[in-house]
Amino acid sequence: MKLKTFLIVCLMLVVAFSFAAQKLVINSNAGDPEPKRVTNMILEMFQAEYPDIEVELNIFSHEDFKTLLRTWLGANEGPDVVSWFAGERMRYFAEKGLIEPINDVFAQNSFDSYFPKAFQSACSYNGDIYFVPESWYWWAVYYKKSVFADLGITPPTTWEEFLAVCETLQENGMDPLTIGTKYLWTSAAWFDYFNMRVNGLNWYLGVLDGKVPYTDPKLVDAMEYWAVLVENEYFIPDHSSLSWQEALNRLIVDDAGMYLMGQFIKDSTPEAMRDDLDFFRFPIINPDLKVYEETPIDGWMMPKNAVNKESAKLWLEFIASAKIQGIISKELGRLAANKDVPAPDAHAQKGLDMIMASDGVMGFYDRDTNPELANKGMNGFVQFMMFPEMLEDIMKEIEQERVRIFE
Amino acid sequence: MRISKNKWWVPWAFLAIPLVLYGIWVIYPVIQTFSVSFTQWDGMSAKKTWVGFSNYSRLFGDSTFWKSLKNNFYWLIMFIAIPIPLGLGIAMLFDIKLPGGKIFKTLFYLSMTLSFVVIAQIWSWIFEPKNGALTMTFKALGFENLAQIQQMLLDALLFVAIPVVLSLVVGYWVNKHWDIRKPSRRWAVTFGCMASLLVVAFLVSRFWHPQINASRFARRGFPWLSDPDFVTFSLIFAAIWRQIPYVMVLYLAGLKNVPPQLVEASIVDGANWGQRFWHVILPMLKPATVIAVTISIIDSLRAFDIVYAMTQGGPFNSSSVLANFMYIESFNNYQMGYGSSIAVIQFLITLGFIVAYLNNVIKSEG
Amino acid sequence: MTRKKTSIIIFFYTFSTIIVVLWLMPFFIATFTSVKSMDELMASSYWWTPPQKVEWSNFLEAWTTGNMRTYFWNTFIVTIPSVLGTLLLSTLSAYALAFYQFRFAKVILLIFVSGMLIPFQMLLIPVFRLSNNLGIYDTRQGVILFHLAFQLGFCTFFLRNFMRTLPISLHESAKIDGASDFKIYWRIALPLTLPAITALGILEFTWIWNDYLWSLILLQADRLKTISLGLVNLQGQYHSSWNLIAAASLITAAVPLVVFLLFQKFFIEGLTVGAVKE
Repeated sequence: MKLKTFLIVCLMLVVAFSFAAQKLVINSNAGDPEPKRVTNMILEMFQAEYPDIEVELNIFSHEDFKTLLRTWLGANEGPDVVSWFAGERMRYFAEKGLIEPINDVFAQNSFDSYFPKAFQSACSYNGDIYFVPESWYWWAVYYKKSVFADLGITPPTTWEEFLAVCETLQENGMDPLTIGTKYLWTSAAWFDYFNMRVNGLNWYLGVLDGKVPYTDPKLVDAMEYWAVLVENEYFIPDHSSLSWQEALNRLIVDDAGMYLMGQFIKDSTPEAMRDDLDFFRFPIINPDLKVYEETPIDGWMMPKNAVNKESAKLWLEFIASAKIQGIISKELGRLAANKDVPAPDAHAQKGLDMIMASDGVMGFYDRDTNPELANKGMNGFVQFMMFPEMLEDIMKEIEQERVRIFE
Repeated sequence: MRISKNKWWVPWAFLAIPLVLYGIWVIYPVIQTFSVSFTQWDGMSAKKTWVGFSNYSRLFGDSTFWKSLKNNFYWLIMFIAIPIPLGLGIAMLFDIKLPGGKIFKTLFYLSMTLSFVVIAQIWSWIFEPKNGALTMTFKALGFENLAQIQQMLLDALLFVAIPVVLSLVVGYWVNKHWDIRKPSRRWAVTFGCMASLLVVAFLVSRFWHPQINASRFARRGFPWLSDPDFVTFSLIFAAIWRQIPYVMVLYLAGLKNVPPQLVEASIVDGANWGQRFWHVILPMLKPATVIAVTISIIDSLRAFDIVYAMTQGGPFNSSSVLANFMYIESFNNYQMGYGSSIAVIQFLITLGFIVAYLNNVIKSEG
Repeated sequence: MTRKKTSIIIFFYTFSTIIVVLWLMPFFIATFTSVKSMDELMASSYWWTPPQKVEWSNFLEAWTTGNMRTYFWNTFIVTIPSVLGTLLLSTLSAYALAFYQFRFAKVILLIFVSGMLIPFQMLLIPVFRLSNNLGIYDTRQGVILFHLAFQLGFCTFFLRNFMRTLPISLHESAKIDGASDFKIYWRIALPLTLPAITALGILEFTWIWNDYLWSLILLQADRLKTISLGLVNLQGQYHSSWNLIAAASLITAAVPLVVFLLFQKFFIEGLTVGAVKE
């Protein structure tokens, strides 16, 4: 009985495929309520423009998406386009030949007629474009304006000022810094920033590429700055039992004063408090260094095993256009990758200005490092945030992993 | 004696379809996992490199592996020690035929029907270190930090639980040795032993009172999920909450074989309680017990979802278990070969326990 | 019902109430969460407390944004045949293992058990590839077939243990009366194991209904997905709607709970095994 059903199904599939109209299968990780709504909205517009294409949009939760992506990429037939991150996370697949170069999407107008030149390297591998950027956001130190005003604090710009602010907050019975390290990535932002501020991006890129030992004295220097915050108990205790969203609560109820976080923090802040939330640039430590910021880029790519490559390219071109990126940016309050789209609101304008005033940008530690090493590294950072005195052992352990992976 | 003088193919006819399906969908992938464990593979590209036993040798040198193994043994011990007696007790209680029993059973079953996503979220909030339900409860009871609770648990174990268990054993032995038959006397002996041992324990505690060596986190507040030494027990607690209703259902099915009057009598009627329970009821519950023990062994050694959703194995792998370690290596770190070797070791350990246990059971079936 | 001593009645109601109330604490918290607004949750530190303002609309929102109408239907279509199929097939194999003595009987039992031992997350990729190669990836049939096969291990083991308790004499006397093997299985073994089968069916229903991993790996199209996938989809990359997740999970839990309520009578007060027990 089962066999019969099975055969019928096989037959049906064969028939379905041979008579299929132009199709497009989009797999997206836009599980959050707002991005999901916007993705559906964009999809409708795409349908209106290309009524002949039968589109199937499948949305997955982000964590599942990460797992599933490689099953799709390794299958006989994959989805036609998938959402993903620019940088090493994309290159990992490009290197294995699992995603397709999409130079011809930009055949008529070059990549930099759509996007800032700075994005090109994060979107390409070996000189070919593999990735269409959709939106990006910045990281900064968030705080509540009302709290700072009450305590007479002005947003710090230098390391000394930053420590003074922490001191003031602690004296007033607050934990100066909130963080939730249950999911490890939040700790990586601190690692990125201390390195960019103490050692500069160019040197730090060597760390991300796995070329610099984790026991390098310069890296240890950067960690010593971090250790100051840990040893003074400026971070909330028990951060490892909280997710980033649970840790945000400490900021909202004034248990904690500041939060190093990405712009998406606004999505989870209660409506009434959104305007009270503001941010400042991560403090400058070494004034002689150029100033770099962290700006992860989200976007789309096309699997090598995509069935409907022509439709996929239409979607990628559609997504790259200023019109569509303008809508996404407006709805989500993020910055559009397309350079013709202005910042959607004052908050985003402030973020954009901050980035424009900086000397360059990077993605994010766990997007730009080998995934295996990133996992070991971030576990080490969390351990360091609980046992700063173990710094040397922790770095040695990460270094062992680095050597094993890269050498 | 089972049937053997049959046409030889009859059992195989019954087994054919199930075995084929099981072979294709379960056994074949399991075998593939074994073969992948000898390779280096990212899980997607066509290239698989044969690396022999190097995944295994790396595994035995990996501190996370040993940490996970240790935690899995905690899971195993707690999963046998707690849900089985409690599940049985609750099944016997709920099996008393009185109106409303159905409702009690259904409500109790509820914890098994909730999605692990929400179970993990809610338990994380119960364990929230600052304002969580558990923290507030213990604060209200006058505790200042987790270390005090750990100390209390240690004291309760050393100076209450151990003397009580000991006194039951001694009481049993005395009753048997002096051939005491009258129930009231038997109880008197047992309680006498218990009282004297508790007094001894109290006196001992005056001279010898070990202090728990709690980590500094435990002394600072209530880090249920972030104290590296305590986190596993918090997770097991949440998992047991979900496991007990499961064991209860198994025993409810088993109690079908036991006349209800017998159960009620043994619950309420104090006399000969132990005797009747051990020698009459428990043997009748054997099929349920075999299943419950087997499942507890398996579930504790492949524990995953609660760990993954509540701590991801953190902080820094302190609460990692083998399945969680395997998942992160295979799916987060793209080390399918290494992940498979973890799965294989976990498989072999479980198999060892199961074979040892089931062998005894099957032998006694005759 | 026989008359019971007052002590039993007091004992039963006191302890049952205490246990159930204690046990339901996390459930109460889930219920509170499900009717709070996200703003209320984020603005208070006491996430486990009763809501200040009750938002029943969360259930409606979970239902619509979680696309739960489709998912509910899909889950029924997958769960019912899977449970029935696996029960039917496992009674066959359990019967063979419980009643016949033949070579390899122990080995086969061990094979069924050993399929349960591996952490099944490890089977994700092999199973995905298999279903892909068989051409049943992204179909309901594929998921059903897989559930059916995957649960055979536990079900066979479970039912074999219960069937062992049936007296062998039953089988033999039927044999003398000239009944075929299949008839004995169908007419005698099955009815007498019905309480165990029902208990097992309830457990299986709960698991397959709540199954997450296999639907995740075997289905891709949104129109085919099952309810726990919809539930997890409410957890975003950055933002988790705790209230909607709680609401959706309560809606989801309702079905296995009703199944338990309806079917428990079969294994608790249904058929009397007493008649056979002598």
